This record gives sequence, structure tokens and C-alpha cells, in this order.
Amino acid sequence: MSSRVKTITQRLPDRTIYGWITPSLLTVMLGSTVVLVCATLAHVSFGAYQLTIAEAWRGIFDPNIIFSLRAWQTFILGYPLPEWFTRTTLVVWNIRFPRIVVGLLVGANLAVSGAIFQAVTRNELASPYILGVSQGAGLIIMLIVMFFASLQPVLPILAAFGGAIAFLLVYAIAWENGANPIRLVLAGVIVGTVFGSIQRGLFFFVDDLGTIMTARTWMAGSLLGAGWAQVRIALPFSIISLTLAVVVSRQLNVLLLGEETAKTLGMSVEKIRFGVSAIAVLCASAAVAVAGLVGFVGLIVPHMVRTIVGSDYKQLLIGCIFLGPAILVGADVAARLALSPIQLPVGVIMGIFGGPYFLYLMRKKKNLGEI
Amino acid sequence: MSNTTQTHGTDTVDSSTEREHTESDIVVSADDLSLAYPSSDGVVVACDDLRIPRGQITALIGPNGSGKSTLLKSLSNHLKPRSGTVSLDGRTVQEYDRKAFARRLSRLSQENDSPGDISVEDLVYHGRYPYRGFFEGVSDEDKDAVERAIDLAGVNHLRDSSVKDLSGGQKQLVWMAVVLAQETDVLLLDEPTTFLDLKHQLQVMETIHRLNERREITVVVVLHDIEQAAHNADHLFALQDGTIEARGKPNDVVTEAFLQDVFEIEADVQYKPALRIHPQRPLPDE
Repeated sequence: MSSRVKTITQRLPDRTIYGWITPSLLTVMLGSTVVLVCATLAHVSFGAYQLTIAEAWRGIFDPNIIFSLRAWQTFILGYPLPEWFTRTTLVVWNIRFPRIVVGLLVGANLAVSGAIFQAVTRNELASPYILGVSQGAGLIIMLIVMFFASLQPVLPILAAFGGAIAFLLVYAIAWENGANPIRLVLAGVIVGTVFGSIQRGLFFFVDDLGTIMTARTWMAGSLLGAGWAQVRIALPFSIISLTLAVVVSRQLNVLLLGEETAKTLGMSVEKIRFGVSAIAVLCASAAVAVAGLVGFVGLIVPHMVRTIVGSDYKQLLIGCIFLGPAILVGADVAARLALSPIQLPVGVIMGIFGGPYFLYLMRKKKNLGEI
Repeated sequence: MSNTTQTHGTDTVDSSTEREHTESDIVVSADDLSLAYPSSDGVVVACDDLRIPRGQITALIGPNGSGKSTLLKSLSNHLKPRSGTVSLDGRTVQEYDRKAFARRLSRLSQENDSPGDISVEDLVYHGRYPYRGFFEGVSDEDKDAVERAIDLAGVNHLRDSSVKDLSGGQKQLVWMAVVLAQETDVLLLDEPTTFLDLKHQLQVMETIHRLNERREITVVVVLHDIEQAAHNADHLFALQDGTIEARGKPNDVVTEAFLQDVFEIEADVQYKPALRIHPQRPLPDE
């Protein structure tokens, strides 16, 4: 009975544009925002360069920066640093804060990507990491970092090709009168492993130790050293792909009804599936391009949001855009501060907590993987 | 195989009256149809000509595995024929734009999945998919159609429940509402009453009649229960091993000889006051 009452309170009062904001979604949005703000404040307050907390907070809330067009041109468009930046501004705004922004983009992209893949495969165990998409994108990125450094600005686009190839491969391997969830996961693991091995193999073709160190950190999935340059790489693609994702949310809802029903309703299922997968691949690629291989975010976040807001994709995706950054940035900041001065890559943290969560999902579900 | 067994003499009579239908009386037709699943070689259904009369209730009956569902799938363009054509109002189903087709014809399959936590009303709104553009919101027309569908299917009291809390029979009625919201002229139903208790079976059949009477919708329904088919349909098609063995008015089709040939049972058939079948024993397997 209680669940019925819950559905009634959660129901859309009227189908207006803003009708989808339900109390549970609002909880996710507010909760995530609180976590993000706290993590940001903690992050900008501590670091190698000694600042008092008061100095740091005054620096981050400095209206001269927040409302300065020139400052944002520097951050977002890559203009040269203005001379009037103080030392505190430089440390807080130019060194510490961008890592938060990158984390935010990475978290949102991975979560949304996972949510979309879960609708396309109708499988709760799907995520860009598990389907091998991250590794596919990663291989291209590794090649570019090692051999074609001049292509850096279009990294996400090129990475998306790698991700797309991996996804198509996985789908082709898993296909047998439809793609069953378990086969998809297995195929994803296989393709991911092969692509990962090639990445590690590439190490032996590079002599420069610095490049190898960068590549290793990157493979572990790290926000270490993430600056405004990374924001500039990921931001345009993130805006495009996240907007598109929310736009296609109704298509995702219909996909959840199953291929046959979707077809009966007049959907060109193959086309739509292909299109939304492309969006998910782009999301994942933008994230992988700046943060490397961070696993499990795309698996855990959609699942958490789904248990809170339900399976309606508009709400689910918006929930993911909030909770994804909160989890990723929260984990990154917590690991950095707890183990200081050692900086564990956030990919390692997500793996340590994400693996058991995956197991928990496996144990709990009667119909493994079905949404 | 394609020659129908002439033992049901009525069959020939009725096909000839059927041929007197002018083309506009036929809404869905299939010619020289041969159906097979991509995964296997065997032809599942072979039927020379199938004419579904407009505005009537047509029932497909036949033993398990006789190809009823497969035939229905090809009529709704879910299964591409190996050869032959299926037409809706004179145009082959493949010619239609997907959404345009979904505004003309809908099919309710035997089993339907949905995420558990969706509300009934939200699910019914998905029936409006073929009317909505990629970016469009819900129009007043959509709202009206959903209200009508919920009303016709008799699920008003369930509209705020979540689908997972419903019984099998309630779910079936809700899915009926979804396809009704599509507001098509032709509705194909694949065994809508199988697995339901009697009350829900009657509710489903009542809904079908209401639709047919109020909106003159053409209904093609696969039914397991021969009596139920005879009572509710204007027209019967009986399939056996993928071919149409008999067609026509229920009282003409359902005879003792027919039940022996097609269903392989010995049964007494009583026609008054209503058609009743009293099964006696199965015929031995050949």
C-alpha cells in the first residue's frame, strides 16, 4: 500500500514543462549540490601552497573574479592570465578550482552515458566502462597522447570513434537473436580487456619516461593536474551531449518498453538506438579524454538515482547530472585530503567502492540486469 | 496444403460472398504470404489470401503452434514476409512511414514489459508516441485521447497506480488502454484473454465490443478459446500448420468435422441457444 501512496505523491500534477520536478528529484538535486559545495570548499582550502581557510574562501567568493568577464575569458577561452590576478586568485581559481570543474563534467558525462546505455541495452549492468566503450575511447586517446599530441583539442571527437567501434564490436559479439544482458556484459569485458592490453602494450613503444608516467596516471583515471585546459577540451562536447541526452529522454522511456512495443508505437527502433548510443559514446569520450579510465560511475550513479526518483528518464538523467558530479568530486576530494600527501587516482577509489556495489547489485536482483 | 478441406462445405460459400466485398470493405489483406523466422529455414505460415473486413471483429483460432501469432506479427509489420505482401488500405505495410503506420494500425502482443514503477497514466501516454514530434510536448488532443482510452478500457480507477502493483488482468486492460490511445482504425490483439481470470476475460471482450461499436474499429484478435471466438467475432479464420483451413461466420465454421480436422478432438457442437462445444476426447496422434 505504501508504494501506491508513494506513486500518487510522485505523480506529475500536470504535464507542463516544469511538471517533472518531483520532491524526490529535488532531494537528489539539493543533496548533490550540498555535497558539491562542501567538497569544493574543502578542496580549495587545502593544498601544497599554504593558505588559511579564510583566505581561500575569500579567494573563491571574490566578486572581482566571479563577475569578471576577463577572468572567465581566461578560464574558458584560454586568454592569457591577467596581470591583476593575486597569488591567492591564482592558487584558488587557476590551480585548485578547475579540478572541481573537470570532476563535475566527468561525473555528469559518465553517469548520463551509463544511464543511456542502460536504456539501450535494457540492462542495469551496462555502463561505458563495462561495455568497453571507455577502453575503446582510451586506446585512441593513448595513441594521440603518445604519438599525435597536436590533435589534443579534438580529443573527445576522435576518442568517440574509438568508443563507437568498441560498442559496435561488443554489440556484434553479443548479438544472437537480440542482445541478452549477460552476453553484453561478457562481450564488453572481453573487448575492454583486449583494448586495455593494447594500451599497456603501447608503453613499450615509447621511450620518454614522462609520457609513460602521464599515460599511467591517465589509465588509472585521475583528476591529478586537471586544469582549465581540460575544461576547455571537455566543456563543448559535454554541453552538446548532455543537452541532447535530456532532449531524447522520452525516446529512452519508450525504448524501455521493449523493442516490439516501441516498434508498434511507430519508433524506428534501430535508428533511435543508434542515435542515442552515439550520444552516450560522446559523453563517455568527453569524460575519458580528460580524466582517463574511471570505472563504475556510469554504473552506480544511474542505479542510485533510479532507486530514488524512479525510472522515468527525464528525471533520471537530470538526477544523474547532479549526483554524478557529487559522487566523483566527493570521492576525489575525500581521497586527496584523507591520504594527503599521497594522491590516489579517483578511478582507483571508484573501483574500490564500485566493485562491491556491482556485486551487491548482482546478489540483490532476481532478474539480473533487467531494468 | 493451400486448398481448404472441403468437408466444411460452408467454407466455399463464404469465400465467394467475401469476394463480393468491394475493395473498400477490406482494410487489411495479405497475398501469397509466406512467413518464416530469420533464425530458421522452415516456413511457419503460408497463406494465399487473407481479407480482413473493415469495421468487424475477426478472430484467428487454431491449435498451439499453428502460426496465429506469426501471422499477426506480419500484419503489423513486425515480421517481414519471406515472400508475398501485406497491405493496409491498398498500400503494402512496408511503404508506410513508421509513425504514419502506427497511427493506422496497432498490435498488442501477448506479453508486455514495462518498468515497474511507471504509473498507469504515464504508460498510456506512451500510446501517443506516433502523434508527437521529436521535441513536442503533450497537446490537448493527446490528453483527450488518453482520457478516452482510459475510459474505454475501464481503467480509470487504476490510473494513479504503479504498473507493478497490478494483477495480470489489470495489466492487460492497461495495455489495451495504451494501444487504444494510439487511436488506430485497426487493432490486432494477440491472445488478450489467455491467462486471465473469467472476469478480466469478459472485461477485455467487452472493451473490444465497445471499440468496435463506438468507433467502428476493425479488430483482429487471436483467441485460444473457440467458444469465446465464436461468441464474439463476426468472422473466423482457423489456422492449422500455418495455413488457413477454414474461414467464415462462426456458426458455419465451427462444426464437429472441423474440430476433428483442425483441433484433432472429438466434440459435440450445440448451436442453440448459443454455440457450445462439448469436448469428448482427443483423437490419437497420427
